[in-house]
Amino acid sequence: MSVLSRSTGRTRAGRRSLPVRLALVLAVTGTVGACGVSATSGWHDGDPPGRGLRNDTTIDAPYGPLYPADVKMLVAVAQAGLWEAPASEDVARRSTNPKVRAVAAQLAEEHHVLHQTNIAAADRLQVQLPQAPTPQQQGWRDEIRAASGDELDRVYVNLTRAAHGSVYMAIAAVRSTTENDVVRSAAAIAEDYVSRHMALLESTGLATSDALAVHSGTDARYQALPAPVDFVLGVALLVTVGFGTLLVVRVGSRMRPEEAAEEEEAEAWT
Amino acid sequence: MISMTSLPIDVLAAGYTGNDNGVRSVVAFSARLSYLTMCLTLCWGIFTATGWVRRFTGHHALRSGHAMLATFTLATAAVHGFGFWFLDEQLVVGSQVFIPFLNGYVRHALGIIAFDLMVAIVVTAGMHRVFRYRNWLRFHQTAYAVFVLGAAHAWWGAWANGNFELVWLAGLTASAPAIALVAVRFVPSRVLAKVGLIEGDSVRATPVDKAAPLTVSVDNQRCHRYGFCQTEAPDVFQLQEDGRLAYRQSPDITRNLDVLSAARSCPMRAIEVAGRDV
Repeated sequence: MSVLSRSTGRTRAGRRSLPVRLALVLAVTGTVGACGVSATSGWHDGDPPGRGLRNDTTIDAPYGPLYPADVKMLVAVAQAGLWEAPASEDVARRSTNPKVRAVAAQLAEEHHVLHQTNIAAADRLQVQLPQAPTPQQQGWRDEIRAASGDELDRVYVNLTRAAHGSVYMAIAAVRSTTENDVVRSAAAIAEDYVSRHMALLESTGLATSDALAVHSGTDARYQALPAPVDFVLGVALLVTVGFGTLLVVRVGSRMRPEEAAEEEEAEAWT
Repeated sequence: MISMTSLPIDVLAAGYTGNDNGVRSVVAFSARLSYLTMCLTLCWGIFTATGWVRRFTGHHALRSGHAMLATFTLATAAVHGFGFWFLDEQLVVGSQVFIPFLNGYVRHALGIIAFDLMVAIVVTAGMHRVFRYRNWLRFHQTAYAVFVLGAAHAWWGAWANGNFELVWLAGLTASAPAIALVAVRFVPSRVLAKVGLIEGDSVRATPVDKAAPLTVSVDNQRCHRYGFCQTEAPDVFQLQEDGRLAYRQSPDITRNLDVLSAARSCPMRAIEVAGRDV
């Protein structure tokens, strides 16, 4: 573009040519427009629930076709059990609120039952289940473990209520759309359990409207921060390595092996 | 219970299914590689632009090292971004991988904007002949914005995934040289020479007066006939049919800016410009 404008003389410094300005306007409009699109159309809505679940491949399985969403539900229920059962046991022991203690005890007990049902269904379909919760769920466990008193009750009820909410949506979609008999009965049982657990958690009166659903893109609420020693060590490393780099620049800008060699070479030629 | 024995308990970043566990490990690893090479690319780029350690390594080694690191950054960033396509979880789908804000995450958008800019910078890196050197350089310098966006994306992502403690020391160490060099890059070189960071005589004692007549001289030993100077100032530098470079020793005063930009664009640093006594 600028090569073409060479023959007609240079544009004055500080002023941009028309195509450049047009491109700038387009870029700004595009960026701002994209923000608007993202605000009005979330990634999670659009298709009616369950429609996208059929589009993917089918896994050959006994008791009817098995879609990835079916497997995902079995895995989600397993992982929910892996963190909610121990967290509920913990709260049932430590909570000072009798209502929360009762709810947590019932959740812990029922999660063991649900977990066994779920494992049985997965075994019949030869589906592999994970044996560890996600880091996000591990973070929730750590947060609950670190809390105490009224804070413990509030954190526990809201975190588990949100986690149940998101698992419930996965279960409901599979419950209504699956073509696999084993998955259907597993989903029906899980739906019953999770729905009851949400009602139990809400009955404590501690659940807020923030605690509806979560997914893996949600930021970790609880963070294992560097220990004070590591924090100081990190800053010290930053400063040391930074100054080390500048030292390399200082030494490097004074060295001249290349130029010396070049001069010698030039002298040899003359 | 065959199903319970196959997954490692301590997965780096576990997703929902076994597939997602593997995909997340790969995207996390490529993200860390990309962060490291991005920091190194910036360092090599600053060395190439300023020539601070040129005498130590040679200009050519710096330039090709910078290009190689940039390619590696782009490749690992591509694995990191497009890897999300393979998640069963459908966290980022279709064009959401390269169009910012489309999946509604600001922290993803930071990385996507940085990636898109990086692609544009790498594509235009070899197009000196199409663009004026000054325009090309201004665009290439948006790499500083890429560094800021990329680093913000990386640290925010580590925070969101609960990995802040894990990457704290290594992440700071990797970025320290880049941060130090960027900090001194924006300090005038005369000040740097005064505090003893770079050697005094590598800085021009008196900056060239852009409004005064200039003298041009070309070191024919160094000139490799790239012809960038001709693109910048065609009526001062002219590559001949036989491969020699013809140039005006005392160009017209109106061509001063072009001459200076030609001297700066020369990859071999063969053009010397000095003030002329009238």
